[in-house]
Amino acid sequence: MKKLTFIDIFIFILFLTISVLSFTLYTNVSGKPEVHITSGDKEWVYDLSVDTIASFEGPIGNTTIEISNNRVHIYSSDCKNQIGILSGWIDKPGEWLSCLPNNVFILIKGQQKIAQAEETDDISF
Amino acid sequence: MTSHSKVRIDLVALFAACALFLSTIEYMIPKPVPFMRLGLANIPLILALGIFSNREYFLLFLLKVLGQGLISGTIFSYIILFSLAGSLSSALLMLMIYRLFKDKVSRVGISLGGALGSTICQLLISRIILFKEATYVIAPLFLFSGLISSIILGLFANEFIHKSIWYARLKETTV
Amino acid sequence: MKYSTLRLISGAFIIVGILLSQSLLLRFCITVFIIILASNSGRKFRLLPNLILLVTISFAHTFSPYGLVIFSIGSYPITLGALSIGANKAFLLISFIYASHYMMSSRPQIPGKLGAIISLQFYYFDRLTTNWHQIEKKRPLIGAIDQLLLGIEKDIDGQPIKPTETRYVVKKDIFIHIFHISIIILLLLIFSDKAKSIFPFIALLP
Repeated sequence: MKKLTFIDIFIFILFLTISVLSFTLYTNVSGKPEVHITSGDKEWVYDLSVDTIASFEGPIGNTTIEISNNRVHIYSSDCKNQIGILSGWIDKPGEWLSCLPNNVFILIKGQQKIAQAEETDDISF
Repeated sequence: MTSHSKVRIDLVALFAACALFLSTIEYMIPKPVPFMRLGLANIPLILALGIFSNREYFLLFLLKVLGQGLISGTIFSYIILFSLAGSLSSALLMLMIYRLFKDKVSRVGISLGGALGSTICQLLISRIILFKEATYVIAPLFLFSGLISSIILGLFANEFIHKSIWYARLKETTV
Repeated sequence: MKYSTLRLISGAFIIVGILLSQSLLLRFCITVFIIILASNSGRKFRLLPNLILLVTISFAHTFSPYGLVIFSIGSYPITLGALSIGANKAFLLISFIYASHYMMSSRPQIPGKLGAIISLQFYYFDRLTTNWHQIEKKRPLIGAIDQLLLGIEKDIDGQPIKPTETRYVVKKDIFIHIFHISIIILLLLIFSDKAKSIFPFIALLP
């Protein structure tokens, strides 16, 4: 039982393939970065290069984010474990922050590349 | 061999206590990234395969989820549903893999399969109700951390089964 | 009603109280109170292991800086916010361990099969938390875990665990347990938002 078997390796490769595939899904995102915030069904967008402080209401209370110097972080949140705050600052497209208890999700998206991808889609179909 | 109609109460309780204990240890370890999990509390579930009947295994799973919810304080919030769904698919998948392949699979494969099931299930839920489209961004990190932690857990379980006198005795009394 | 059942009910109230508490000071107060209760029902309290637990968990959380910098080790900042998040977790953990002892100290028999398993689960959990420091000292790891598990199993080995308190509840017991629960409720009330608006000085506490 101690040695790894063929099936072990097979499951490992399956897992690895899915992980790598999921990785390629979003790494081709770049361009002018925007901060997208989703809470429930609503979505907000801010420019990453403009300093802002904004507050969002979720099921528990308020989650406040701060954008400064082309970076964004969760400034405060009314949740218990404060994991979102501990995550610190993010500044690259594709990076994200979240406050799970308060259902707030913050994601930096690159604007141009996504638009390009849509264009190519239009052409190819 | 594992079709006892009677549930061995103290054995299930001991495994469940270990799961509760490991949940507390997991809770103490700081996690810089949300969703990152070690899944230490899965060790008893991985080890229980081959010793427990299906009924006992399901009981252990239930107690593990309740214990985790109690420790992390999520028992009264909707997050427990998130972890319940993940744990359920992980437990079912691990049981299935074990029943299907028996000795042809080691605990590494079982652990990996369980982690894969739980991660994909949670990603699907996240896609539908929690973060909608944003889910595809959390996926890679979620998957990779699950991959690495489940390999480590599986290797530990292999080693434990190989070396532990306690486990060997358990196995003797079961077969 | 059996004495152990009363213990179980009041213990359940206390655990809910722990889960509801948020602020660090409140967690601390509740932890101290629960430790007093648990030592009254026979659990030995040693300061040092708990202190080590508190310090290690708190400092482990300083990896992600958050809040006021108290001091720096080299260029590594120790921040107040991160420390308090860690301390909060540590208090939750310590209070939970002692609360489960308080609840299980007289071996309550929860009705039903699931009840029996849960009560045993907490009993074993209590044993694991009292004996787990054996693991740290001994190498190799698996041998030490083995010893721990074998030791716990030896205590029961086939025979059911007998309730230590089989007597029935008298009036005095009920008063004592209501007193325990009301102290928890009182602590929760003192730190609630309502109290803060009536007595503003409470809001100044951490």
